[in-house]
Amino acid sequence: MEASDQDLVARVQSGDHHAYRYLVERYSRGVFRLAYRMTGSEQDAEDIVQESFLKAFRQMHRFESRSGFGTWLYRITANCALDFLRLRQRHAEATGEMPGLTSAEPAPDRLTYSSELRLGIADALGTLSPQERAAFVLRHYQGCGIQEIAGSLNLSETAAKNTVFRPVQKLRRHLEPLCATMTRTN
Amino acid sequence: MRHYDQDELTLLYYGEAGADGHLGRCLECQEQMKQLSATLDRVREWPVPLRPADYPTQVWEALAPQIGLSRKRRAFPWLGAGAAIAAMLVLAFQLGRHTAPGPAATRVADPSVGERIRDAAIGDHLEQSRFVLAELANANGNDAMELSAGRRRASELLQQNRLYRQTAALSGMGQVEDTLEDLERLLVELSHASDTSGPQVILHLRKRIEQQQLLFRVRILESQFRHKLQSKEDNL
Repeated sequence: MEASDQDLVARVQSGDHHAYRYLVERYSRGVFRLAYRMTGSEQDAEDIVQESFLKAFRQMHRFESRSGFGTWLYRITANCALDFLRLRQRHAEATGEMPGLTSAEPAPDRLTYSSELRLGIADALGTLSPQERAAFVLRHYQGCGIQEIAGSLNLSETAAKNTVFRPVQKLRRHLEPLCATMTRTN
Repeated sequence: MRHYDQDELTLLYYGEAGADGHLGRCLECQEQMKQLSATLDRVREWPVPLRPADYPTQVWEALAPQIGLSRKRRAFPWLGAGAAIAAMLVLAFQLGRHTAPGPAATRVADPSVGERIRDAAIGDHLEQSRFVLAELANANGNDAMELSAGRRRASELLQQNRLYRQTAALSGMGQVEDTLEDLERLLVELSHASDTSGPQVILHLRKRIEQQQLLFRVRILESQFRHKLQSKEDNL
C-alpha cells in the first residue's frame, strides 16, 4: 500500500530524508503546472519547481498537518513564483526590457488548441500584475477558495476578492471578442 | 429589479456565493453569466507543456544533492570528472583566439565548436552555483552542517568561477563578467567562513544575495546560456 502524505511527512520530520523522494515524485507534475501557469515559461517553471521543493524541505519542521501537505506545498510554490515574477518585473523596469510575463513558448503537444486563443490568453495573462496572476491562477486552476488565497498571499479577504476580480475583468476585456469570433466560426 | 454585477457573477461562477433565485428568472443576467463562463472555461483549457514520463525522477535527482543526499547526474558528465580542467581548456581556447593565429592546420576548424563548449561549461557552472545560492538563501542559519557543505562546494566552484570570469572578460560578455564577479566575492566569503561565525555569515550572505539579486541574475544567465546552446544545436 502506498504511504500517505502524512506518514511520509512524519518520516521526513524524524530524519528519514529519503522519504522526501516519494513526496517529490508525487507532487512534481502539479508543482510544475502551477509554476508554469504563473510564469508562462518552462525554464522558469523548472527553476521554481526546484526552489519550491527545496524550500518545503527546509521548512518541513514547521509544517503542521492542519492543512494537507499538497496545499502547503502549492502555497510555497505560489509564493516562490510570485517572488520570481516581482523580481523579473523590477529587473525589466530597471533595464527597460518588457516584463515578459506572457508565454512566448509554443506548446506543440496541444496542436488542437487554437494558437490564436492560446496567444490571446497568454497576452491577457501578461497584462496582470504578479499578485493578480498569482491570485487568479490559485483560484482558477488550483481551485483555492478566497480565504485560502488571502492566507497564501497574505492579504485580507476583501483584497483577495478584488485581486481575483480584476484579472477576470481584464481577461474578459481581452478575450470576449476573440471567443465570440470563435463561437461564430464554429 | 437589481441585476448581478460582474464581480457577483464571478463569485457565482467559482461557487463562492449561493444564487438567490434571480439568475433563474433574469434572462439578462443569464446571458452575462453565459459569456463570463464561456471566457473563463476557455482560459481553463490553456495548455501546460507535457513533461516526460520520468519527470518526477528527474526532479528528485536534481534536488537530492541539494538536501545532502546522493549527487545528481550531470548534464555534461565530462565536467564532473574535472571541472577545473574543463574551465582551463575553455580559457585556453579563448586566449588562443586573442593571440596571434598559428598555422591554419593547428587552429580549431570551426570556432563555433569552441563556443559551444564554452557556453556549455559556463551554463553548467551557473547551474551548480545556483544550487549553492538557493541552498544558502533557504538555510536556517544555525546548522553547522549546512555551512560546512556550502563551504566545501564554494571552494570547488571558486577556481572555476575565476577562469570563467576571465573567459567572459576576453569574450566581451560584460553582463556575465559582472555577475561572475559578484558571485566570486560571495564564494570567497563562503569558502572562508568558520563554523563559529556560521549563523551570522549565513545571514550576511543571504542578505547580499537578496540585495544584489544574485540568485535571480544567475538563474537568468543560466537560462540564456541554455537557450543559446539549444538554438546552436538546433541549427547544426
